[in-house]
Amino acid sequence: MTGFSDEKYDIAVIGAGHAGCEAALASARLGLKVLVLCVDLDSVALMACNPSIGGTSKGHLVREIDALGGEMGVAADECFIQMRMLNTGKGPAVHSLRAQMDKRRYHERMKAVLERTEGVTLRQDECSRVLTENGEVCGVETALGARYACSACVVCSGVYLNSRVHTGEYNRFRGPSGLANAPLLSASLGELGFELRRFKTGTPPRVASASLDYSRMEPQYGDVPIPHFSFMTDELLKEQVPCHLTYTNSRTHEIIRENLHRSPMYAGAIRATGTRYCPSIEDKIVKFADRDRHQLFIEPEGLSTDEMYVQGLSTSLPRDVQEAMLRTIPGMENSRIMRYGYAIEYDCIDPTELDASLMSRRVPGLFFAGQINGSSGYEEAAAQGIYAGLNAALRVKGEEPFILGRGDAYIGVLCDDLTVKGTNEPYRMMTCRAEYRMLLRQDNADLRLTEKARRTGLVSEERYARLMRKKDRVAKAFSSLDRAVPASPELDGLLASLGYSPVRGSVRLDTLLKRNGVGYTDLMRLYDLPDVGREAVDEVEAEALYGGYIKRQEEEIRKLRRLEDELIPEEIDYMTITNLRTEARQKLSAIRPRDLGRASRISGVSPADIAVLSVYIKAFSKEDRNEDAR
Amino acid sequence: MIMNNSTVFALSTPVGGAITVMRISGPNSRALLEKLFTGSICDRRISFGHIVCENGEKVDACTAVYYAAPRSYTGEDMAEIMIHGSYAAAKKLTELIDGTGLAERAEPGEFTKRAYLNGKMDLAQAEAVMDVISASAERSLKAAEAQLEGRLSAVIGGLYERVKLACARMANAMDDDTGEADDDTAGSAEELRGIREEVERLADEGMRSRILREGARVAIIGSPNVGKSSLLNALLLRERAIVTPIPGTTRDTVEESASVCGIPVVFVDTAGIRESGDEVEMIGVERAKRESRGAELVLWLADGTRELDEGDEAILRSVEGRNMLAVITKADLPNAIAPDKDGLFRGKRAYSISSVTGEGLEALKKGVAEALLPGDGSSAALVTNSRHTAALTAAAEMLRAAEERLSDGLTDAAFFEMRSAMDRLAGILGTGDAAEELIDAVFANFCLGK
Repeated sequence: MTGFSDEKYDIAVIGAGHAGCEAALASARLGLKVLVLCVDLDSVALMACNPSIGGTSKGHLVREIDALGGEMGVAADECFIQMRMLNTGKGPAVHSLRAQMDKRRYHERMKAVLERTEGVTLRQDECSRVLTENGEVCGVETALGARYACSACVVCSGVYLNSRVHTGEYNRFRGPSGLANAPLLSASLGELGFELRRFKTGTPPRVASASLDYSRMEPQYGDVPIPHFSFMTDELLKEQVPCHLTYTNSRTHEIIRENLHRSPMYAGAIRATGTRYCPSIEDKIVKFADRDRHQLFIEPEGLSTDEMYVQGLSTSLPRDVQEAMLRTIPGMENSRIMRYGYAIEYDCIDPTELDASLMSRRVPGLFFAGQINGSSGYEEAAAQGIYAGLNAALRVKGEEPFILGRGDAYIGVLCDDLTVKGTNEPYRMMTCRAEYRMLLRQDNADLRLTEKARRTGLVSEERYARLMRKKDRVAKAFSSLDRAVPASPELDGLLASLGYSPVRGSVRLDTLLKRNGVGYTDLMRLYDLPDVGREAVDEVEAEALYGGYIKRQEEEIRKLRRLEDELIPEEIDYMTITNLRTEARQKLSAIRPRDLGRASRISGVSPADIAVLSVYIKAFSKEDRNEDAR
Repeated sequence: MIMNNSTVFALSTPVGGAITVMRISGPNSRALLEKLFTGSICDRRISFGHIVCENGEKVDACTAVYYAAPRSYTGEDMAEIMIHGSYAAAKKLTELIDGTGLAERAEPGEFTKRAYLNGKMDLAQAEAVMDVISASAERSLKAAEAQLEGRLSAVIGGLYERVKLACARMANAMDDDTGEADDDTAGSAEELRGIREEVERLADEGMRSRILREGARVAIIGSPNVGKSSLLNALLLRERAIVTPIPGTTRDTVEESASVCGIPVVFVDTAGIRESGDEVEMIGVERAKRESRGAELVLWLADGTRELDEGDEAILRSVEGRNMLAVITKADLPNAIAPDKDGLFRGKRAYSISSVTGEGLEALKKGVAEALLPGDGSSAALVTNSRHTAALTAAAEMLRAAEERLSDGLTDAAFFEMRSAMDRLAGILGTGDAAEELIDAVFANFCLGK
């Protein structure tokens, strides 16, 4: 492919949503020249759905993105209007931070970072084709006719590819929130051999705050002291804004049931697959007919707007039905809709076409991240974005890919699930998907990932220095806990207040922390222990409480890694391995896993198939060596 | 050798013959032998010695051979230990090896696979190995199919569904942002208890059918000087005619065999271990836990001449939930404690005995037999396979732990235990992807999400 009239770049990033921003920043921070193409620069890092970042398991992803040197956590710490730690009563492994955002500020903040970052060129234009030479990416072409040479391309097209929005009988080929969509790239991906699928998602109506009666709702306030996402943040001080809770009722449900035939999903106008995690209110009423109410969460969209997001009421019912159902809800009787809810369907690829670094096996140099891969959610998108951007950059630099496994991070679980198991619906991260969740906590994301990511160049010196300081503090705390103390009335008093019986003789300090409820700071009041700061304390308490579980999980991970260290040669022809069962041969040929660990997770591949494969791989590499010798 | 740096072990002969062979392969083979075997170790020479526990107690007499790499079947460092062919002996050795952390259990066909990988076989032989591996999978598949038609899989399948639903309830609680999730821990706890009791009942059934075939282990636990050794001696003396000490046992050995009402029983005592100093309580508790873990029945001894103290209570707590009898000793002396009018003490079936006069021993033996095989033992057991029994026992333990974590408000840890239990049951059923099934269950049963 020749005739590049325009500038040359190392990497082209298609789209500037949550995946595109992280992908562009990661590759530019590794010193590469990055072009970011976006259909509308006023919607960079747009929060098209709800105005919050984090939440259960998504909060883990944000911490991990931050630990790798990403932007989402830092930006969220700057633009939040409320912070709340969820699940605090369910054990440290599932504590999850959620932040309400000023969504306009978040957009401006993210756009400004892209503008300031050396190496990033941000340009409003639509990518129409991915150009290849000898089967590998060599450039991109745009709707305005530009042709840019590049060595790698990261497609982060979100829900914009050929997207179509629906509200009742109304539908248009549009992007979210009335924005332009991107109709051109789908055909190019089809030419390259990708089979496109159709997924759908949706949003609820936004209503005017002035039209709501908050006295009929239950307020929910932020935490004080204010928790934060980024390991680079020291302390947050800000006046926080409350959210509000209210509920649907039987009258609401009646209206929805009476109008189901007017819903494009139920009338058959949308055939795309929706997510089970984020069901429309129509779906909830149909699937959970016995529930007499559903919770709604009223979230401010920002400080400079009166728009309020009605979480829980995602719908594509017609305008008049949306209005009628809102009026049945306590506190919303006189509500005025500012934007109507809609469903949106869009093109995406089958992520099992990707390798463990999120690069297409079909077209080397072509990476995919975010909703194009069939995921849902800002955090899932951003996590894939930094991962794909980093790996695209490493490829251009001729370095080994940076692979995170299921035992390393939620990001590893996310990418592994998508590329090995695939997904039949918009995929949402969930705590219960991460089998090593006792280890993969949000408090230790930096300890798990920052050092690992350092070799890539993405981790700043300051971030690394902070990690080392935290490690020192944790070690200091543990060494001061490494001693026994005699029984005392003070200690018995503390234990009694938590419902424990008194100790006899003496007891080790670290053993005391194994009792749920006994905190490091409680012990600090009784004994001479160093003040190591909140972050180190969280770490020490979780490690002490779950030491036994952590050891068990580390052992499991060691076993898993041994399998993952056995790489499968790329040129292997599964169809010729007759000892594999037919189903295994087909599945392995389709997914082409990187290693035996990944192979073992493919449904339809049995442990016996893995044993056969392992013997075959050794035979294969032996033959290889013999041929080399000749 | 290049790729496999792990050490694996497995019984390479079926249990039940005169001799059982334990095979070990990998770099830790020698270290393992040095740790567990008292005999001399020289390359490819059979030597005689004893298997010893961590604390140096001798467990069994045996012979062992060490093969240094590469002159071994697998081409790695290898060891083979020949022990007496009893179930109890094989089980004990397996536990001891597990306990060292030096080796893990071998996969099917692993020794042969390693032999090939280390160049001990050519490609044709290797293909034969792959045939064997896939054929054995085929067989187990067939076996699974046959079982699927049976009542057992229906019962286990039902339990699996209940555990899955309970798991889904917890997953929903953990993954719910709205705080609205059905987080009814009281309801969960009740359901958990119900499931656990059913799993325990099945595990008991499996245990019973194994006891008939292979005999039972009965652990004797209690505080120092409560009369553990005296009881053991009394039990053995009374049965002198039919006592068959495990061959090779020495005066330090803590296990003795006897027939109790026709059931072959191995009594496990903690005699020979010094009990002194401040650590008495801790050792007592830990030992009780350890010894009771592998036992089908626990005899908890209380000194009849004094009230229970902290140490007794701690030991009692540590074996909570076990199949257990209370034995009140020293009935020939003035009594401070006694069974109530229903024959119970602390809620357990209790027996007052005197090892000196022999009072109450016959009743205790009948009680032991009854506790091991309740009823007439003739009803056909659903669970007969020892692998299934082990899985059910483990699942019951995990469910119990889940109940505790849940009551502590640690949903994440409770979920971990539940998921492990779910995997154990899935292992019996041989069903597919438990992780996916769980997520489907969450969405099918709970209105999760925004």
